[in-house]
Amino acid sequence: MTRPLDELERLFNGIVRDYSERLYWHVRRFVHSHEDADDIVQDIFLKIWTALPSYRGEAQLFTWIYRIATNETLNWLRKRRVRAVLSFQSLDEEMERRIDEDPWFDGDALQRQLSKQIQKLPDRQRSIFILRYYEDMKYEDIAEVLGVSVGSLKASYHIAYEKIKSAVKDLD
Amino acid sequence: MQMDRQHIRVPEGYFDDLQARLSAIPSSQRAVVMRPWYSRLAPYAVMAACMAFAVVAGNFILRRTAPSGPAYDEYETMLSSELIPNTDPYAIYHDSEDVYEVSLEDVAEYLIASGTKVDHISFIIDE
Repeated sequence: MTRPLDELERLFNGIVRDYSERLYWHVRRFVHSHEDADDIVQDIFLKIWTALPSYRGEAQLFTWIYRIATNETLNWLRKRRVRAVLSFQSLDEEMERRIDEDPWFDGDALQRQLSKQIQKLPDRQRSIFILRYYEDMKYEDIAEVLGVSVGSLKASYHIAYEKIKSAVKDLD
Repeated sequence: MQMDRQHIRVPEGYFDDLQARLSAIPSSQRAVVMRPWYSRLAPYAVMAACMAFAVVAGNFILRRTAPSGPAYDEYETMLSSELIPNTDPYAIYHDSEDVYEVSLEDVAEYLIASGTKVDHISFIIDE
Protein backbone atom coordinates (compact mmCIF):
# COMPACT_ATOMS: atom_id res chain seq x y z
CA MET A 1 0.00 0.00 0.00
CA THR A 2 1.50 3.35 -0.97
CA ARG A 3 1.54 6.12 1.58
CA PRO A 4 -0.16 9.39 0.72
CA LEU A 5 2.20 12.19 -0.26
CA ASP A 6 1.49 14.37 2.78
CA GLU A 7 2.23 11.43 5.08
CA LEU A 8 5.51 10.83 3.27
CA GLU A 9 6.40 14.49 3.64
CA ARG A 10 5.65 14.44 7.34
CA LEU A 11 7.79 11.34 7.77
CA PHE A 12 10.58 12.87 5.71
CA ASN A 13 10.55 16.14 7.66
CA GLY A 14 10.75 14.13 10.87
CA ILE A 15 13.79 12.32 9.52
CA VAL A 16 15.37 15.64 8.56
CA ARG A 17 14.73 17.01 12.05
CA ASP A 18 16.05 13.94 13.88
CA TYR A 19 18.88 12.80 11.64
CA SER A 20 20.30 15.67 9.61
CA GLU A 21 22.91 16.61 12.22
CA ARG A 22 23.78 13.03 13.12
CA LEU A 23 24.27 12.10 9.48
CA TYR A 24 26.37 15.19 8.88
CA TRP A 25 28.82 14.14 11.61
CA HIS A 26 28.77 10.56 10.38
CA VAL A 27 29.75 11.67 6.89
CA ARG A 28 32.18 14.30 8.11
CA ARG A 29 34.25 11.68 9.91
CA PHE A 30 34.80 9.94 6.60
CA VAL A 31 35.44 12.84 4.25
CA HIS A 32 37.18 15.41 6.51
CA SER A 33 35.73 18.36 4.64
CA HIS A 34 32.74 20.50 5.62
CA GLU A 35 31.82 21.29 2.00
CA ASP A 36 31.99 17.68 0.82
CA ALA A 37 30.08 16.47 3.86
CA ASP A 38 27.37 19.05 3.12
CA ASP A 39 27.07 17.85 -0.49
CA ILE A 40 26.95 14.20 0.48
CA VAL A 41 24.33 14.79 3.17
CA GLN A 42 22.08 16.46 0.60
CA ASP A 43 22.52 13.49 -1.72
CA ILE A 44 21.71 11.13 1.15
CA PHE A 45 18.46 12.90 1.94
CA LEU A 46 17.53 13.02 -1.70
CA LYS A 47 17.99 9.23 -1.80
CA ILE A 48 15.98 8.87 1.40
CA TRP A 49 13.12 10.89 -0.10
CA THR A 50 13.21 8.79 -3.29
CA ALA A 51 13.33 5.48 -1.41
CA LEU A 52 10.82 6.42 1.30
CA PRO A 53 7.72 5.20 -0.59
CA SER A 54 9.29 1.74 -0.82
CA TYR A 55 10.27 1.55 2.86
CA ARG A 56 8.04 -1.12 4.34
CA GLY A 57 9.50 -1.33 7.83
CA GLU A 58 11.54 -4.46 7.13
CA ALA A 59 14.43 -2.84 9.00
CA GLN A 60 14.37 -0.27 11.79
CA LEU A 61 14.06 3.23 10.33
CA PHE A 62 17.33 4.48 11.71
CA THR A 63 19.36 1.47 10.51
CA TRP A 64 17.72 1.92 7.10
CA ILE A 65 18.74 5.59 7.10
CA TYR A 66 22.29 4.83 8.25
CA ARG A 67 22.61 2.14 5.60
CA ILE A 68 21.77 4.68 2.89
CA ALA A 69 24.13 7.23 4.45
CA THR A 70 27.04 4.79 4.83
CA ASN A 71 26.63 3.39 1.31
CA GLU A 72 26.44 6.85 -0.19
CA THR A 73 29.57 7.92 1.70
CA LEU A 74 31.54 4.81 0.77
CA ASN A 75 30.50 5.27 -2.87
CA TRP A 76 31.78 8.83 -2.75
CA LEU A 77 35.09 7.59 -1.32
CA ARG A 78 35.35 4.91 -4.00
CA LYS A 79 34.86 7.47 -6.76
CA ARG A 80 37.38 9.73 -5.10
CA ARG A 81 39.85 6.87 -4.93
CA VAL A 82 39.47 6.15 -8.63
CA ARG A 83 39.98 9.82 -9.43
CA ALA A 84 43.10 9.88 -7.25
CA VAL A 85 44.53 6.78 -8.96
CA LEU A 86 43.90 8.30 -12.39
CA SER A 87 45.79 11.40 -11.28
CA PHE A 88 48.61 9.23 -9.91
CA GLN A 89 47.80 10.32 -6.38
CA SER A 90 46.87 8.54 -3.17
CA LEU A 91 43.49 9.03 -1.54
CA ASP A 92 45.04 8.30 1.87
CA GLU A 93 47.53 11.13 1.38
CA GLU A 94 44.74 13.43 0.24
CA MET A 95 42.70 12.63 3.34
CA GLU A 96 45.70 13.18 5.63
CA ARG A 97 46.20 16.55 3.98
CA ARG A 98 42.54 17.40 4.57
CA ILE A 99 42.87 16.49 8.24
CA ASP A 100 45.97 18.70 8.54
CA GLU A 101 44.43 21.64 6.67
CA ASP A 102 40.84 21.47 7.93
CA PRO A 103 39.99 25.02 9.11
CA TRP A 104 37.15 23.70 11.28
CA PHE A 105 39.32 21.29 13.26
CA ASP A 106 39.56 22.42 16.85
CA GLY A 107 41.57 19.67 18.54
CA ASP A 108 45.21 19.17 19.36
CA ALA A 109 47.93 17.22 17.57
CA LEU A 110 47.02 13.94 19.29
CA GLN A 111 43.43 14.20 18.17
CA ARG A 112 44.59 14.99 14.66
CA GLN A 113 46.71 11.84 14.75
CA LEU A 114 43.72 9.83 15.99
CA SER A 115 41.74 11.01 12.95
CA LYS A 116 44.61 10.02 10.67
CA GLN A 117 44.86 6.54 12.21
CA ILE A 118 41.13 6.01 11.80
CA GLN A 119 41.45 7.22 8.22
CA LYS A 120 44.04 4.49 7.53
CA LEU A 121 41.59 1.69 8.35
CA PRO A 122 39.94 -0.16 5.45
CA ASP A 123 36.52 1.25 4.53
CA ARG A 124 34.45 -1.47 6.14
CA GLN A 125 36.51 -1.54 9.32
CA ARG A 126 36.43 2.24 9.51
CA SER A 127 32.63 2.21 9.17
CA ILE A 128 32.37 -0.27 12.05
CA PHE A 129 34.74 1.75 14.20
CA ILE A 130 32.99 5.06 13.56
CA LEU A 131 29.51 3.65 14.18
CA ARG A 132 30.61 1.98 17.39
CA TYR A 133 33.07 4.49 18.82
CA TYR A 134 31.45 7.78 17.79
CA GLU A 135 27.79 6.85 17.38
CA ASP A 136 27.63 4.40 20.30
CA MET A 137 25.59 2.13 18.09
CA LYS A 138 24.79 -1.39 19.29
CA TYR A 139 26.51 -4.23 17.48
CA GLU A 140 23.16 -5.64 16.36
CA ASP A 141 22.25 -2.33 14.75
CA ILE A 142 25.67 -1.98 13.10
CA ALA A 143 25.20 -5.50 11.74
CA GLU A 144 21.89 -4.39 10.21
CA VAL A 145 23.42 -1.25 8.74
CA LEU A 146 26.40 -2.95 7.17
CA GLY A 147 24.88 -6.33 6.44
CA VAL A 148 27.51 -8.30 8.35
CA SER A 149 27.27 -10.71 11.24
CA VAL A 150 27.59 -9.49 14.82
CA GLY A 151 30.49 -11.86 15.46
CA SER A 152 32.58 -10.63 12.55
CA LEU A 153 32.03 -6.97 13.31
CA LYS A 154 32.91 -7.43 16.99
CA ALA A 155 36.18 -8.97 15.90
CA SER A 156 36.72 -6.23 13.33
CA TYR A 157 36.05 -3.49 15.86
CA HIS A 158 38.40 -5.05 18.38
CA ILE A 159 41.20 -5.26 15.81
CA ALA A 160 40.63 -1.66 14.71
CA TYR A 161 40.54 -0.41 18.29
CA GLU A 162 43.79 -2.15 19.18
CA LYS A 163 45.47 -0.91 16.01
CA ILE A 164 44.54 2.70 16.66
CA LYS A 165 45.32 2.51 20.37
CA SER A 166 48.82 1.19 19.71
CA ALA A 167 49.46 3.74 16.95
CA VAL A 168 48.32 6.65 19.12
CA LYS A 169 50.23 5.29 22.12
CA ASP A 170 53.42 5.27 20.07
CA LEU A 171 52.91 8.91 19.25
CA ASP A 172 52.13 9.93 22.84
CA MET B 1 28.97 23.97 17.95
CA GLN B 2 31.49 21.28 18.77
CA MET B 3 31.61 17.56 18.59
CA ASP B 4 33.66 16.71 21.65
CA ARG B 5 34.90 13.38 20.50
CA GLN B 6 36.39 14.68 17.36
CA HIS B 7 36.81 18.42 17.99
CA ILE B 8 35.31 19.72 14.80
CA ARG B 9 33.32 22.93 14.43
CA VAL B 10 30.77 24.00 11.85
CA PRO B 11 29.75 27.49 10.70
CA GLU B 12 27.29 29.36 12.91
CA GLY B 13 23.68 28.42 12.14
CA TYR B 14 24.77 25.68 9.76
CA PHE B 15 22.42 22.95 10.99
CA ASP B 16 19.35 25.22 10.89
CA ASP B 17 20.24 26.14 7.34
CA LEU B 18 20.85 22.48 6.49
CA GLN B 19 17.45 21.45 7.84
CA ALA B 20 15.75 24.18 5.82
CA ARG B 21 17.47 23.07 2.62
CA LEU B 22 16.71 19.41 3.21
CA SER B 23 13.06 20.14 4.02
CA ALA B 24 12.73 21.74 0.59
CA ILE B 25 13.59 18.47 -1.16
CA PRO B 26 10.01 17.13 -1.46
CA SER B 27 8.68 20.34 -3.05
CA SER B 28 11.68 20.62 -5.38
CA GLN B 29 11.13 17.03 -6.52
CA ARG B 30 7.41 17.71 -7.09
CA ALA B 31 8.38 20.53 -9.43
CA VAL B 32 9.55 17.89 -11.87
CA VAL B 33 6.22 17.44 -13.60
CA MET B 34 5.17 13.91 -14.38
CA ARG B 35 4.41 13.63 -18.05
CA PRO B 36 1.07 12.07 -19.02
CA TRP B 37 1.26 8.59 -20.53
CA TYR B 38 0.56 9.74 -24.09
CA SER B 39 3.42 12.22 -24.06
CA ARG B 40 5.80 9.36 -23.31
CA LEU B 41 4.60 7.68 -26.49
CA ALA B 42 5.14 10.85 -28.52
CA PRO B 43 8.73 10.09 -29.66
CA TYR B 44 7.69 6.66 -30.95
CA ALA B 45 4.67 8.15 -32.72
CA VAL B 46 6.94 10.70 -34.40
CA MET B 47 9.34 7.97 -35.55
CA ALA B 48 6.49 5.87 -36.92
CA ALA B 49 5.06 8.91 -38.76
CA CYS B 50 8.47 9.68 -40.29
CA MET B 51 8.85 6.12 -41.50
CA ALA B 52 5.33 6.07 -42.95
CA PHE B 53 6.00 9.35 -44.74
CA ALA B 54 9.29 8.01 -46.12
CA VAL B 55 7.54 4.91 -47.46
CA VAL B 56 4.64 6.84 -49.04
CA ALA B 57 6.80 9.61 -50.48
CA GLY B 58 9.41 7.17 -51.73
CA ASN B 59 6.77 5.03 -53.37
CA PHE B 60 5.21 8.06 -55.03
CA ILE B 61 8.54 9.32 -56.35
CA LEU B 62 9.61 5.94 -57.63
CA ARG B 63 6.33 5.41 -59.42
CA ARG B 64 6.47 8.84 -61.03
CA THR B 65 10.05 8.42 -62.21
CA ALA B 66 9.92 4.72 -63.13
CA PRO B 67 10.72 4.10 -66.81
CA SER B 68 7.94 2.77 -69.07
CA GLY B 69 7.33 2.02 -72.76
CA PRO B 70 8.27 -0.77 -75.17
CA ALA B 71 11.98 -0.64 -74.39
CA TYR B 72 11.27 -0.96 -70.70
CA ASP B 73 8.78 -3.75 -71.31
CA GLU B 74 11.39 -5.60 -73.31
CA TYR B 75 13.89 -5.02 -70.57
CA GLU B 76 11.47 -6.44 -68.02
CA THR B 77 11.00 -9.45 -70.23
CA MET B 78 14.74 -9.92 -70.50
CA LEU B 79 15.05 -9.53 -66.76
CA SER B 80 12.48 -12.14 -66.01
CA SER B 81 13.87 -14.45 -68.64
CA GLU B 82 16.63 -15.45 -66.23
CA LEU B 83 14.00 -16.76 -63.83
CA ILE B 84 12.11 -18.78 -66.37
CA PRO B 85 13.85 -21.78 -67.87
CA ASN B 86 13.52 -21.80 -71.62
CA THR B 87 14.57 -24.05 -74.45
CA ASP B 88 14.45 -21.38 -77.12
CA PRO B 89 16.58 -18.43 -76.08
CA TYR B 90 15.90 -16.63 -79.35
CA ALA B 91 12.24 -16.39 -78.44
CA ILE B 92 13.18 -13.79 -75.78
CA TYR B 93 14.72 -11.46 -78.26
CA HIS B 94 12.37 -12.10 -81.10
CA ASP B 95 8.93 -12.06 -79.65
CA SER B 96 7.82 -9.04 -81.62
CA GLU B 97 6.17 -9.15 -84.96
CA ASP B 98 8.97 -7.33 -86.65
CA VAL B 99 11.36 -10.23 -86.91
CA TYR B 100 14.39 -9.51 -88.99
CA GLU B 101 14.99 -12.41 -91.34
CA VAL B 102 18.68 -13.13 -91.83
CA SER B 103 19.48 -13.71 -95.49
CA LEU B 104 22.33 -15.75 -96.92
CA GLU B 105 23.94 -12.57 -98.14
CA ASP B 106 23.97 -11.27 -94.56
CA VAL B 107 25.60 -14.49 -93.43
CA ALA B 108 28.23 -14.28 -96.18
CA GLU B 109 28.99 -10.67 -95.36
CA TYR B 110 29.44 -11.54 -91.69
CA LEU B 111 31.69 -14.47 -92.46
CA ILE B 112 33.84 -12.39 -94.80
CA ALA B 113 34.11 -9.66 -92.17
CA SER B 114 35.10 -12.21 -89.55
CA GLY B 115 37.94 -13.50 -91.69
CA THR B 116 36.52 -16.86 -92.60
CA LYS B 117 38.20 -18.51 -95.63
CA VAL B 118 36.39 -18.35 -98.92
CA ASP B 119 36.29 -22.12 -99.23
CA HIS B 120 34.52 -22.37 -95.91
CA ILE B 121 32.10 -19.59 -96.84
CA SER B 122 31.09 -21.33 -100.06
CA PHE B 123 30.71 -24.61 -98.17
CA ILE B 124 28.40 -23.02 -95.64
CA ILE B 125 26.34 -21.17 -98.24
CA ASP B 126 25.99 -24.27 -100.38
CA GLU B 127 24.77 -26.12 -97.31
